[in-house]
Amino acid sequence: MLIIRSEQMQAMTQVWSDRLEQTLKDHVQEFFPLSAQEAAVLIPAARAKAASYDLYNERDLHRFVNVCAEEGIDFDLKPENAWMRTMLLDPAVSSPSQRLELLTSTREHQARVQADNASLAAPQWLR
Amino acid sequence: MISAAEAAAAARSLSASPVSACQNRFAVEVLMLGEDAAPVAGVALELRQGNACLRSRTSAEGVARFDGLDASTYTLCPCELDLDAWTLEAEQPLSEDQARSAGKANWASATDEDIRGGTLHTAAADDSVDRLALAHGLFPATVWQHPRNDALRKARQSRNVLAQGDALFIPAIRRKTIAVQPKVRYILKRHGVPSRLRLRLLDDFQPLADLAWTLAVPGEATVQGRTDADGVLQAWVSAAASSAVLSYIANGALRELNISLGALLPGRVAGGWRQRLRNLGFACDAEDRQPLSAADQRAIGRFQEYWGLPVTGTADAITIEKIRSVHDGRQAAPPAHGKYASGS
Repeated sequence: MLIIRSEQMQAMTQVWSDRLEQTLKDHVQEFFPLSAQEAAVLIPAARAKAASYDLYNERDLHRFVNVCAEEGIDFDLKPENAWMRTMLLDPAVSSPSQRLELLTSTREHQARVQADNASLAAPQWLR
Repeated sequence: MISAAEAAAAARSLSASPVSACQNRFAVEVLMLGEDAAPVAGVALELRQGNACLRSRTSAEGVARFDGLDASTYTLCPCELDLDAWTLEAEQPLSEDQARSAGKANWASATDEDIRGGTLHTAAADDSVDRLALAHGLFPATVWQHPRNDALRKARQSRNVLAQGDALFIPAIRRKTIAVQPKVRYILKRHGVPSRLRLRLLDDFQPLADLAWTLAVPGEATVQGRTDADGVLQAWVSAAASSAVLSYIANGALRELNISLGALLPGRVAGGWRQRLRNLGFACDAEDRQPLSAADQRAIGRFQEYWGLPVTGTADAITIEKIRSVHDGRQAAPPAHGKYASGS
């Protein structure tokens, strides 16, 4: 039977965490106009903020840093985004991952509605 | 320093095997649709087994998914909705991919709130029964038809009108549950949501038939359609919406009308008949004043002449009742007489 000592587990966790940090930095640099320096500042702050919403796994962190990169690291403190904070802390949703899922799907929906509304704003189709 | 939660996430990630994660774990999906068959977002749902529960809300696509379930039977309850406000419409098997669940269920202890009673609500200026029913998880008719609202119902006659200060009883929700099983999508219908908006468009007292229109409600998807042969426009709008902009082109010109939703006053109060008279195209003053201004008298006189009433220019009881019945009723076409008659 293989026994992993706590020191070994800690070392593996550190490796996992460091690798995740680098993956997230690469991700934001690939999809957002951020320099390496900006990514190096954003990712630890985003991970700390994600932890305050009980978000730790890799998939959630990817989605959470997307929100931070688009809206700014203090997105949840802006009055116009109060609904986002409410959603991320919603006690009516058991899973923190699902709360984030609801937030991202709502943002995508709002973007779609805005784009559709913009296309209908032109009066041409009324004629 | 790695936190305990991060270490747990790392441990899960390091030990994760795609096969073991999916083994014997399934999902239940719920799709909530409104009266217009469009998804309803934000509906709170509770899945229970014994004293344990999972909570979720429907997404913008109207879907809520409960992951990490055993092949067992559970009870599902839209826990913020009254039993009259929803029904189970259909069940569909999920595909194998959809039914399999890699997620973990975050079971919590179920708590039963005390939901007895109800509240007596004093209406604000912009309150409507539909809006209040929506906010309290009720079907509008459940509120309006409640025996404790008998007197108000008699006085106001229409559910669409409340006056500031009206006392409306809002009953407590009564919960109901359904038995559900994993690997199935349950399609629920939310009754009374969204609200139906009905307007008749007239130009120079003639119906604007088969006319293309758009209705823009702040924060919502703009809807579009065409009026029917009688100039009637029907659209679904959120009961929470308080304003909309209606656009159409008449006589070659783009018209944009700002519409207040849910703000119609009772027809027999001064502000109420003014709102209706203006909506009908008779331009009286918006502000209530006594004695009546010359503009008020002209507008009332034109209305009286148009509908064959004695032309007095005063807001007498017969005229006020006629304004209310023409506006709130479904009189399809105006009578053909007087200088406003068709073809004149």
